[in-house]
Amino acid sequence: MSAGRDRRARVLTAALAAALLASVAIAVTIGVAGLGPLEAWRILAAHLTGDATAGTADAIVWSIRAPRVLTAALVGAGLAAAGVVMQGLTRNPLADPYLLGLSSGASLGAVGVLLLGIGSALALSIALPIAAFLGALLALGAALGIARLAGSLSPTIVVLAGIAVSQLLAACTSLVIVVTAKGDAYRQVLSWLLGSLAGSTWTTVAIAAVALALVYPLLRLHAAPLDALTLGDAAAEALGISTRRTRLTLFVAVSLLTGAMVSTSGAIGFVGLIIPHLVRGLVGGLHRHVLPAAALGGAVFLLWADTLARTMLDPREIPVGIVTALVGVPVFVVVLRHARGTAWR
Amino acid sequence: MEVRVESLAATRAHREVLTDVSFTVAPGEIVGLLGPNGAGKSTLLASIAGMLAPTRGSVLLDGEPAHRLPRRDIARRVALMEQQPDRDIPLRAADIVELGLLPFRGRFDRGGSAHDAALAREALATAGAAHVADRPWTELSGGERQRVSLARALVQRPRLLLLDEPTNHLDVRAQLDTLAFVAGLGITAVAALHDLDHAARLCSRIVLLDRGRVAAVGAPAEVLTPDVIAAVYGVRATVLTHPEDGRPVIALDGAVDSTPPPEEGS
Repeated sequence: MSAGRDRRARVLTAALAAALLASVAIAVTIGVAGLGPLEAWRILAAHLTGDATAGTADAIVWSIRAPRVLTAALVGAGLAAAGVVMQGLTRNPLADPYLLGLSSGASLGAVGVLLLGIGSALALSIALPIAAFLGALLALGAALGIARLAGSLSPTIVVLAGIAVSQLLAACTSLVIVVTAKGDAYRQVLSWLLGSLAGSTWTTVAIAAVALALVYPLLRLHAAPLDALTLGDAAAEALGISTRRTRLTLFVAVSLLTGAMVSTSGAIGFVGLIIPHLVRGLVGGLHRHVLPAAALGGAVFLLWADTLARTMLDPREIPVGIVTALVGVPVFVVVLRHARGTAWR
Repeated sequence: MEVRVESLAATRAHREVLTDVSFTVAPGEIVGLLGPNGAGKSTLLASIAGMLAPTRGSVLLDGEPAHRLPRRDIARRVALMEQQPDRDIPLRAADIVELGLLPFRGRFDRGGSAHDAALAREALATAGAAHVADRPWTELSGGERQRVSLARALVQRPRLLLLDEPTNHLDVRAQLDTLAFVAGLGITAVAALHDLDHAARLCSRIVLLDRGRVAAVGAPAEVLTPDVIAAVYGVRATVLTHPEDGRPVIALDGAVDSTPPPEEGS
């Protein structure tokens, strides 16, 4: 049976990988510009083989759609993986970077750096994710610190503390933008707090890809310790795991991942919450099965959520966080109903 | 494995929970830790497992100070069956047992090999829980969970088994099964217990704790006397001798400060 489950996890992971490739290929052909799929693929192929042509269609496909689709996929993968790990570390099915305030903290960090008015694009693309990482770390520290002050790291208290921190930092982010922004402040507030992939470029692709390439292998390496932590701290220690060091390492890793993702796209909710739950329902709770499937599932989910966000109310765009909430919450309700007795309640 | 606890003091949350605790466990022996809630039984188990550094004194496992040993080294020799968590674990029984192999795995071993699965199955069968291998933890009864936890401890091939209230939340049959199983393993064990009769049945010696200090150490018949029980638990007890194996059988009569039941005929 356990061999059968390994196979099931492998099949799901392979299917999601295939779905991701197909989704990327299809999503680059979708958009308000009304280019045919063949034309979009021809432009991509031309760029990949190194003989690009100039022109509006070329710019739309290669400079706007392709980086946007890829950023969405990478951010979705990162947020879902971060959610899996947060849930494992806190033994709290509701822990995700958005709910615990990491995303708001990262937003505040990123907005803070934008205030500095760094001129160089390269310096900014390095400073932005680092500031967002520090913001996420600060938010996480604050949420856990408040929970400890309240005398308990129980799931309920941690979530309550996280919500408080999240609200506070989101308010700070809005305040900073409203006070300092020239022009369209409300749109900026929305895109940082609800998430938007409209600003995607090849630079955001690079930021998200580097963060994922650095952090994901580390998370994957901790799959077994994460399994052991679900048994409780004493049991994990008795199995030879240093729970303090493991938590510290992984909290920092998740903050880094969240920070990098938020610096490219703002705070997008529900990906880190729903995708891990869906995946656990399909392959069980072992982290070596859940992590890869959740990362791929998150990529596919956010890619399509963003495709909807940029086409649904054509010609206007809506923040992608609205789509993830509209799609995510009903799915979550269904998952909760069926999760009874099979995984976390 | 030989365990020597020497003048141990331990602090938790800025409060000294154990003071001047000394006793030894000989290889192959099963020692019971008794005492009211808050006496320090779980803290003592954590100290023996090396999870808590002593503030004074020491715990020696085969002569080595427990809290100085790397966690993995201890995990290869000492297994802990902790109290059953009341939260749900999103894993199946066989997965949980396989986690017992973690201390023996290399850093880059991803786990899930056929060999690991076979070892886990074998341990589950030994613990009498082969039939629940593929069931999720959430669907198991209290007794089944206990067997799964025992199997996880066994797969560690421990030379010392630490048990924190192994009969909690079990029905009478499952309690006896668990005790008989542990007694039959032949592994050195230290068990924190609530039930005095269970301790008398399972253990060759008993360490009775009272507010962090050792109130009495010795064979069950020496420790479990009406006077000692009254002093430590505040309970009047009648201690009988079992007609077959001579172990003490404890009948609890009532709180020390309550009025005794009227005698017959009065």
